[in-house]
Amino acid sequence: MERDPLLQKLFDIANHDLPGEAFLAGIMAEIDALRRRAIIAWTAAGLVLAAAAWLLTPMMVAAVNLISQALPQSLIKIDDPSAMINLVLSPLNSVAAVVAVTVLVMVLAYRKIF
Amino acid sequence: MLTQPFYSRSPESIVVRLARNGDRQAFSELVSRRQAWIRNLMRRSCGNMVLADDLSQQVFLQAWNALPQLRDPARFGPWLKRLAVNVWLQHQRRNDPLREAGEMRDEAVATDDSARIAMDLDAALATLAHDARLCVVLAYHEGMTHDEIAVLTDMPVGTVKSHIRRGTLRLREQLVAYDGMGGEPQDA
Repeated sequence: MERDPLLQKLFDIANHDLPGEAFLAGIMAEIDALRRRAIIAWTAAGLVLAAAAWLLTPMMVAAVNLISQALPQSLIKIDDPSAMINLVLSPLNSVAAVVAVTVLVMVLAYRKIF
Repeated sequence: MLTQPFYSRSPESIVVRLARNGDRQAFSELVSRRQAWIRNLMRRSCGNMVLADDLSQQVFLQAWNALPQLRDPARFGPWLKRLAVNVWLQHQRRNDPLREAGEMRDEAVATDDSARIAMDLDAALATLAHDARLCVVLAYHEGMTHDEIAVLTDMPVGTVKSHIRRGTLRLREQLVAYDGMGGEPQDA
């Protein structure tokens, strides 16, 4: 690439060294302020999370219990547990299986569409 | 703890590695080494010392935050230059209120020839459109090729060439006083 020699010379002369103490001090002060803000923000977020966990724990435990009881429920009642149809359907014959298949289908559909 | 002479004597790639791991002193050393380059680049780009220093500060703060993502410490210079150009382009797009200040001439008294030439050069650069100015500055201040400027600024190569060709002609007209004087104005 061809450059104009005079302009190149003027750019080179204009590109002089600049004292950087005040500039550097400003940047490092800003970095320290950012660090302090980050520490305060993380501390606040931790406190909020801890408080939320403390308040929501009983509800979450109840929800987990409810879900863990609901997931293994059979969808189709088969009286004879040793019947062939029961053995064949058992991997799919539960609320958990329906939820898993639904999620899988949704993920596949999402990938197909987007 | 490492001492300041260790940082100032170390190769930049080592200092970058330390700064990437959160070493504040190492980053301070990087700022010391690169501040004049980035501030001069910004001064040529915007023509205002205060705005240029403000934007340069943004560049280094972004660098501090993004440094852990820099994979190759040896590429710190080009990476920092890309950050600087992005900060300048973002500033232009935002139409920052400070932009008004960017249009103003520096009032600082030229105390020596290089300062006077810098002021004249900045005044001439101020007559170019923003994109043209950026292309010219990257070509002359940074010594970048058309292709490199096109990649850095996301402009087509043809546009970059055109900006530089017309910008060069325009600057030569504006700086006619320096013709044949080896960098000194003819009628100064």
